[in-house]
Amino acid sequence: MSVKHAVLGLVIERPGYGYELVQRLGQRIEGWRPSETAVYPALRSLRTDGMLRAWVRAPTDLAPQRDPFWLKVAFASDADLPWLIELARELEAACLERLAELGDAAGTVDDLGGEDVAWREIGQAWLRRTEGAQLAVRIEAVQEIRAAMKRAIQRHERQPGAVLRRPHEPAP
Amino acid sequence: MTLLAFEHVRKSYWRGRHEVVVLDDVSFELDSAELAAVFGRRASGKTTLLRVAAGIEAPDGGRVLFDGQDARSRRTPRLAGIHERIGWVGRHRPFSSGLRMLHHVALPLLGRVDAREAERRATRALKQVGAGDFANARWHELSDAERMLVTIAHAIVRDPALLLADDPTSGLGLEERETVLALLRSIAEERGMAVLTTVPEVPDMLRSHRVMSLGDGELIQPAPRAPGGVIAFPPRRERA
Repeated sequence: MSVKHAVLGLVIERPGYGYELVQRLGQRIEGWRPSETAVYPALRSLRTDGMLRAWVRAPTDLAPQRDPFWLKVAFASDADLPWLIELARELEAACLERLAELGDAAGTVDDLGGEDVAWREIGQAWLRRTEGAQLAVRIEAVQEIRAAMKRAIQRHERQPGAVLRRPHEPAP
Repeated sequence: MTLLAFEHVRKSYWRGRHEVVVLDDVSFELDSAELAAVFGRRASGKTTLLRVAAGIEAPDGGRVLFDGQDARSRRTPRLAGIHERIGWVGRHRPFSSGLRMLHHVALPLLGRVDAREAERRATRALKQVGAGDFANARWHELSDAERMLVTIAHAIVRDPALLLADDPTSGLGLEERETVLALLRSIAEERGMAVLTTVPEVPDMLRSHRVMSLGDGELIQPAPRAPGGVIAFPPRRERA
């Protein structure tokens, strides 16, 4: 197995840029630190071999929810909620920061319908647009879950020591 | 230059026996020539934020500084002029349905300048928002988007230092929203006004200099950016 195959495996798993791929390789294979000078030529040769093209054209599956924040929300206990509320604030701030960056970039493409606009411009505008839409969904969802967690804490404070039941269990 | 500053502002009201905290320790600053957008869902306290900023409602705790002065003492004669320097973009319609838009926009100047000067300034405001054609129109003849443009002209005709806009994009189509937001940005940049607008949807914030979100009383702002607006990449790991 060469660096090239390792890089291809990583890219198929999840796309990334060169520096990130180096980091992920290092995390995967303990004790092996591939140098960036090996990864970039590997990426280049993958492109000339047509392997990346094959990946681009391969069917895409709907990925399950793997966002670590939502997994934490799902597996948190009541005592974890204050920490998760703080994480939710940080996540919302990070989404807003990214949104501000997208807004700065959005000003550069004025008229995508013009005859002389290169596809790269159109494609990247759509990339920003879909990312903006995803950020919108995340911000609203994070606001909602933050409010829900606060309500859960308040409920707990009003009835200390109450044994909470699961919704599908019959009330005692 | 900081025109508006919220310092640990708190505001709540009582619904029956429950206290609803609308603004919970809210702090932010707004500069002149800057457009800031606040996203919040329905009933998230956006309008209360604007009303406190305008001095219509006093905060329960904390301070609101307008141009360095505490807004809570606005009722005192010395500071009575502050509300003159604030424009409000809301959902109000003209007080008379027969009024032509030129006169509707000129109305805030009544008693301040003579009629000819008022008409001149109203014409200029209408032109700046791209509503010059509606000077002789009546309210019922305009679409929602056209009404919003006229409302913005009405709010800026007195040349305020601070413009507060309450969900100006709600109910508008995608292109109309873009138009309204681009207009608010150009008003901020060209007239040097500080503009604080609330928006009902997140993508509406893309045209603003500063983005914030309000939910269950908390105002969230992006983490401070690296100097010069450069995105900070994670530091390179040292080679072993």
